[in-house]
Amino acid sequence: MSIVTVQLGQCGNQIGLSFFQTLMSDLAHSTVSSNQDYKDECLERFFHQSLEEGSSKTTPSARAVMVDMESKVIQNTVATAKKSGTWRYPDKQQFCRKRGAGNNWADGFYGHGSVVEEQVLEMVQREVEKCDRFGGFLSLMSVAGGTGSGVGTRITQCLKDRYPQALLMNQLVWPHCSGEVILQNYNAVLSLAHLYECADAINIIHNDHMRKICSSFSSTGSSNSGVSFTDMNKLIAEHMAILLQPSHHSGRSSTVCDMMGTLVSHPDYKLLTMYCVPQTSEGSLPFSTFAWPGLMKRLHQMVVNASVMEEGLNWQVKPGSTHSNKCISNHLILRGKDSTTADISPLRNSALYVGWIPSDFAFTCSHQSRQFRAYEKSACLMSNGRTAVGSLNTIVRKAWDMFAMRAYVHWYVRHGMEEEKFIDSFASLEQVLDNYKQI
Amino acid sequence: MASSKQGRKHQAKEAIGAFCHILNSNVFITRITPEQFRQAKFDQPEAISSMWTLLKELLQLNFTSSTISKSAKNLAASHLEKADVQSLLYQMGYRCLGFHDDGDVGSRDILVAIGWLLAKLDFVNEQAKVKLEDASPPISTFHLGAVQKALNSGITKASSQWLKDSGPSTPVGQAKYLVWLMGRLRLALKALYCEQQGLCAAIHHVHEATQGVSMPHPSRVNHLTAWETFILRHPKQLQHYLMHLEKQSSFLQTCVVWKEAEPIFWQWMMSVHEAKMSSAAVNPIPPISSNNHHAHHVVATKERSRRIQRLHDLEIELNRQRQVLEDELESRGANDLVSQLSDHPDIHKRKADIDNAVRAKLTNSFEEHRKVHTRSYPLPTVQFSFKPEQAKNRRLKPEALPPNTLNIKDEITRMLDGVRRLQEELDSVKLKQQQRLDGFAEGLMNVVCIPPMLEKTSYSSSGT
Repeated sequence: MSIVTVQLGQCGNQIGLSFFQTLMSDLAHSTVSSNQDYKDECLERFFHQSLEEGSSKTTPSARAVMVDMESKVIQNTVATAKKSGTWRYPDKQQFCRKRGAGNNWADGFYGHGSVVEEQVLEMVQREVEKCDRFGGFLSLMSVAGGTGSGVGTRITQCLKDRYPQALLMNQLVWPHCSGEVILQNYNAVLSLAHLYECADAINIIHNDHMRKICSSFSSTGSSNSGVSFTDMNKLIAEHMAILLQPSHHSGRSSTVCDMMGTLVSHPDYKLLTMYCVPQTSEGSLPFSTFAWPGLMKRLHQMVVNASVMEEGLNWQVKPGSTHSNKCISNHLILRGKDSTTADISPLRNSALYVGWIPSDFAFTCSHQSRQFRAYEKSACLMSNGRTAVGSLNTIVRKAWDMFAMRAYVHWYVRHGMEEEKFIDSFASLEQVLDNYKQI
Repeated sequence: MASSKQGRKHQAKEAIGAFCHILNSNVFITRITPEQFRQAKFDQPEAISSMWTLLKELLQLNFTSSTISKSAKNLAASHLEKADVQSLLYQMGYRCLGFHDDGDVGSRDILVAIGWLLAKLDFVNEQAKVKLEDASPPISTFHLGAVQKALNSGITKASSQWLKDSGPSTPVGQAKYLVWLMGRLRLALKALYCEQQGLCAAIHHVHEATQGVSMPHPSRVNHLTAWETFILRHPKQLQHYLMHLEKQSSFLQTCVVWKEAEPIFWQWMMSVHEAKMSSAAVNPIPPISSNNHHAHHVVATKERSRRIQRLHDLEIELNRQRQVLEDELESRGANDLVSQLSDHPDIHKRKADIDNAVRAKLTNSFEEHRKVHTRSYPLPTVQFSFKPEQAKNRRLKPEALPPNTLNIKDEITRMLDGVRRLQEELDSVKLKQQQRLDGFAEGLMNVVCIPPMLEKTSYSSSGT
């Protein structure tokens, strides 16, 4: 099954680059000799073979369409990929304009969106036609800015209309709580409310969490100063790769469709969160050893605590207690030696799940005996549960407070957006929050 | 003579043997032998269970698609009760009453039912068609046994068990479960679409890569099929393929043998039917099984129509008798008639007797008919009451009467009306009869007719 990645905005493009680099570095990792099937499957999923200019040699070309309103980031990204020599972005699948969306969702959605959608869809069509077994789209975007959130939402809606049979997964990067952009709360609310209607799955990655995990890698452990966006993007890409690289489920290859079948079957619950272990910097990996019981114990407690970070877990909370997390469903991927021997029974605990889904379907697990990069053992749990509620609630409250004062609303109205759109978006997100609180 | 009989017997045996071979080649049918067929012909009780099983399996094959797994089919077959089979066959049109019996059904009756079903379904031709048309899927997937097993690993069973044991109890939970199931279906369709696309692309790649090669040569298609390419790449599978082809060709050979012997088989089946009919003449046909409501309904309807037919026949008979009487009247002289009319009032008596007989018959059948109807649609009970007096100074209002109360006075008025109407009818009938007699009298020369009702009036012909 092939997946076409749509990189939207600065953040989407940078994460996309990191993601493909991570995939290729994983394939190049020569710890296991017999990894041809794994390699073929990964290449079929995210790359196609294309001839290099002026030579008969083929190189993997990412199944990706890049969209940004400013050309600088895209140019850098394409050049970086080409420089690696192992893979590249396809030619003429990049779309840029001269002017950015100015961190305004309405400018992206109504202004740029309506102009660019046809051209972008044409590029997407070209990419889809290269797939033998086209499964769906993976959209990468942030919700704080204008291009990622505004144009991204518009493109996702168009993709839904044009490819109703395809799976639509959106990887959203949630802004820092402290705020990078004044309009980020509005942008996030508007994007999420619109995406919730058209996407099949929305995986939210918090910049705050990523920064904390990255800072824990540094020797001091508490300093945020040394963490760059590149580090965070690498971490996000790594987590995504652990999730999306090939694995096996009940004797056959597990597809993204299988995973989504477990996670987002109910259309009211689409918010996903990734929990990954171990959270160790690459530099310290050669000096660390991991055992499955320890990893699974930590992962279990992270889910129970609804904490994406491995550090600072409250070990007193038990599944089913008042402070415990509750999930609709979870999908676990175990990678590394003896992955099939890991004890996953604590994650099957029915106290973690809602009562209206059969226990066999609420939790599924896939394995891959080949280790992921330098991680001897690694695990990623994709969870559809209450974890996302806290941050979503905060952002909706903040945006509502601003909207109550009509702060900056005219910036949106001026791009052709009606005020009712705000009200509708608030109402639909309140409904989402309410649904998750009730589980 | 004896030798030709022997030869026919032998042929019949061969035909049944071929038929058993075809039946046994189907994996869903329990093994059956020609001996069991022979036993069934002679209504032996040993053959009852095997004949029931065969009948059930044939019905299963007709009603379930071939994709259902064998275990599921066996489960369904064992659940099919005798009454279900009887009812199912009745609905399909099998009306042989000896089969739809409450007690034990003889093996011969079941055999006749099997024969009827085989003729109706055109079983053998269908089997041959299935084998030929679906040739590719079973052979192209038999090397994927392990994958198939993994896919069928009892997960659906677990889900239905869960729903029974601890499924959502509240309506909200059930609604959410339903929406979840719908969502799952939607995602499964997306996955299926993707896989189908992949399959098409893969087949296209195979055709593209094998362009110009064809087997056998020359062929209409200018490339190898996916299966042929697979065989080329995996020579070990060729052995399985050859075995499969052998099986298939032996099946087709059996089909050819069967085609030749088919008329003899049906002759044999006719002899079974005749044997059944002759035994049915000795033993009365037992009643229909009490479980078979459908059959009961049909039989009751038939009974009603038969009774109507009887009444119709009676009417014709009466008309005929009237005609005879009229002819008699015409053939005899008018004097005789007059003397008979005056001397023997038997004719009136006879007419009255016939009238009574007809009335009694009609009343009887009406009563029966009414009973049948009232069993399913009971008539409302009727109460009689006197009409309350319409006193002018009465202050109290009359009590409200129940809806199905009849008033005696009203009834009397209604009945008097009826009497008046009947009287009028009688008068008109009398007048008509008189006119007819007048017609007769005119035809008789030199005769004076004195009708019995109008004795004072005298009619005379012009010649008196």
